[in-house]
Amino acid sequence: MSNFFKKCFWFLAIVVVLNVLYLLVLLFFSPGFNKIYEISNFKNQNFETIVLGNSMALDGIDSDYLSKNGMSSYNLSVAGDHISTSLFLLEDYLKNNSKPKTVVVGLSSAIGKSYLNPVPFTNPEVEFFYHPNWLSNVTNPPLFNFQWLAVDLIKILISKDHRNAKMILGQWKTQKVIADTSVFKNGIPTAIDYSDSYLLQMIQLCENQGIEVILVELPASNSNRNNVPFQKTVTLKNQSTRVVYNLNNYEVSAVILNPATDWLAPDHLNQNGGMKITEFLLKNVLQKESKVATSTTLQQ
Amino acid sequence: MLFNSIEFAIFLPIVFILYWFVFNKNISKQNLLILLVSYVFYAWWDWRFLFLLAFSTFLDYFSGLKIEQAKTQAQSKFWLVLSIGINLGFLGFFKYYNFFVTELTQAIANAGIVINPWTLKVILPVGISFYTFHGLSYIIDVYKKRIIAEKNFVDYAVFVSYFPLLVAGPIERATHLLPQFKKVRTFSYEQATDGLRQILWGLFKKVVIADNCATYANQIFNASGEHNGSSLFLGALFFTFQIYGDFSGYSDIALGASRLFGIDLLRNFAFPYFSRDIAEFWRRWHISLSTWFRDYLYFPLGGSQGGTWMKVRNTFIIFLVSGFWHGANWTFIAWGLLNALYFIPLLLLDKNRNHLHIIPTHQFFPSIKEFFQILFTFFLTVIAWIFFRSDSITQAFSILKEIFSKSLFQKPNFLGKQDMIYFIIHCGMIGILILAEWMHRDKQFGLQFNKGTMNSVVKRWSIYAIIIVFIMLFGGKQSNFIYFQF
Repeated sequence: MSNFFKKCFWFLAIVVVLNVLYLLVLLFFSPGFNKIYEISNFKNQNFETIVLGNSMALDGIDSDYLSKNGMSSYNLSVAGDHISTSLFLLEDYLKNNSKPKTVVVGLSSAIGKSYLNPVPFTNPEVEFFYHPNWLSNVTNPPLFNFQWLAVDLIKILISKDHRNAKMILGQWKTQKVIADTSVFKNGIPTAIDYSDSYLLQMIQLCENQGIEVILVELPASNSNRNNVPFQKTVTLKNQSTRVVYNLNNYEVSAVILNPATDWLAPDHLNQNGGMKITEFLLKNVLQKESKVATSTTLQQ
Repeated sequence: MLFNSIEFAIFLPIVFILYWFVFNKNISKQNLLILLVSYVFYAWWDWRFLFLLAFSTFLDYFSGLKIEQAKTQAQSKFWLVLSIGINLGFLGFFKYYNFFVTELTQAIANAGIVINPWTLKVILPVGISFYTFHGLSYIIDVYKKRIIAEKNFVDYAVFVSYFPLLVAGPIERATHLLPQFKKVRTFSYEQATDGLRQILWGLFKKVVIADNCATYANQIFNASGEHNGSSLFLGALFFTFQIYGDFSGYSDIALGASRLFGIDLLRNFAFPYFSRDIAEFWRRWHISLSTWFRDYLYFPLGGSQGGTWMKVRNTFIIFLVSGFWHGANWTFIAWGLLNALYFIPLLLLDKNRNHLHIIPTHQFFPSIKEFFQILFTFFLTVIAWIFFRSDSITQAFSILKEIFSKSLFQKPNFLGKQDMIYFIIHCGMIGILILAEWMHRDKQFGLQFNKGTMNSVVKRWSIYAIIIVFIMLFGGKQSNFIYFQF
């Protein structure tokens, strides 16, 4: 029997070692995983602009471009995020760092309700670093909890584009191109519900701290674009209104983006597309809003 | 409690420790422990059905005693018929009531009379088909005087509700299992470690093969009208591996877990997809059910003793009942009948016992003839599984129509919606399953190593490590076992 228990012990030890090894591999080779580790350790950072959102914002808003153009920025977006996680990340950032002047919220309503889903869901990577819990690591060990990251690692292993991709100031930058061959459906757009309580909390948190909030609908592939005006006023949960800049307007995004060169996957921009959208955002939204904010402050 | 759940991963070691360290002095106490934990295991799903299980157990126990004590054949037969009637009555009510009511209503409506059927929202108690068949085999064996009636209620109740086999078999025989509960069990290191290997292999088949194949099979079958022939054939292939991984994986975990307690269960699968004809397939697929039907239905019907007509009739009955046992749907009956159609020519040509042993392992590859025999038999089973998986006969035929059309040679349109990396990984996992089982086809399961080639501890443990990584990293979404619904 003692031999049997020894074998069981070794078996369990192997399971533990494999999971620890996997975590180390992720830390070293998975840019997304490493980014969360990095931001969970942020202290005394002094970014002027913080970007929040899910994978569409992670790929599509170029914080490096903003920084090089005088607006030091970091992209806190995390793939697969719900807005509740973005709110949590922002709260944590504000606790440990200087408050930014602007928060850009990259909304992704073009690809369904994942970001503003009425039912919030947690992000396993964020939970792992921000709420470490031994029990959950035992019941849901890393190999199981971060299954999809293994496939990302395989992609890095076999694809040059993935190997060359980089996480720069929180933005996932890749030159990979998959042309958008989908066609715009000129139908009635589905009404987007902005009465999400987390969105309201995020706006209120920023307003209370004097941070400007910019809400941006990020562009999607042709088939998921809409005819909603570029600037639209939306109603929040408390019946107050805000302006949303709709980069998913078909005409606007058609002028900015080239379907043949600017996409890395359906609805996800590559670094060319990300830079073009960010350039447009900077000139047409951020700089204008910044001027308005400055003049308001001066008047006060 | 699912075998592939964290609850079971905690439950099993606790029972193991109690069994070997706390209650090891006395087999009565060990049996009582097994009975209690088996009821806990069952109650994890729905404690209300424990009463049904307990009633069925008590009925068969009591009937067994009465049959043995009966002074006349008529009395003995009375208790046999009563027990079988009540057992099948419960099974019929929970499993087939709505099916019969709906079909009867439809038949009456076809005759121009409209009635409002009295259907019920009947929940099927998990494992009812399995424990009912346990009880029936016991009662029939007592009646036939193959065994003496069990006097100890706890021992009998353990036989019926032993947790590794309670919800999805293997369907045990009293003659095989009951004696094991009557004698002292001693811990065997070899048996226990082999049991753990079998559990590991079963988990691989369930979590990696079945759960991932289920995703593809569900996508394709749930929207069968949208797919071309090649996609539908892929869907059928994925279901073929799903059902094998799911059910044989379950059986491997059940057998492995049982071996930890020193109890051997009947083998349920013997690499059926390496069969060279359909008769061999049925000797290797769900063996405990096939042999149950053989012993308790085919032989009593006369078996193959009464000439050609009798053989054909009995074969049809066996496959029909086997199909119907799986569920109250015409698709299962069609699946059973199709298998009967596959089987009858072999029976008539007296070739149904041509391949009694697995392809010898002295050479790695099969002969060309064997290869094509395996391929053809596999193809026949894939076609039959289409009926098993479809929601209706109409759907099954429309799938077959599309498969046997020119669109079989088109690029599968279903692939366009897939992340190809996942698809390739999952196909690779199926390849690993086939390779491992082929290499160990003379063994009990795919991870039972050949002693000559796997003496190195490093080699063996490296394989365990790889399998653990596969299970954890590429395991599909945790889902129920298909055979729980039967």
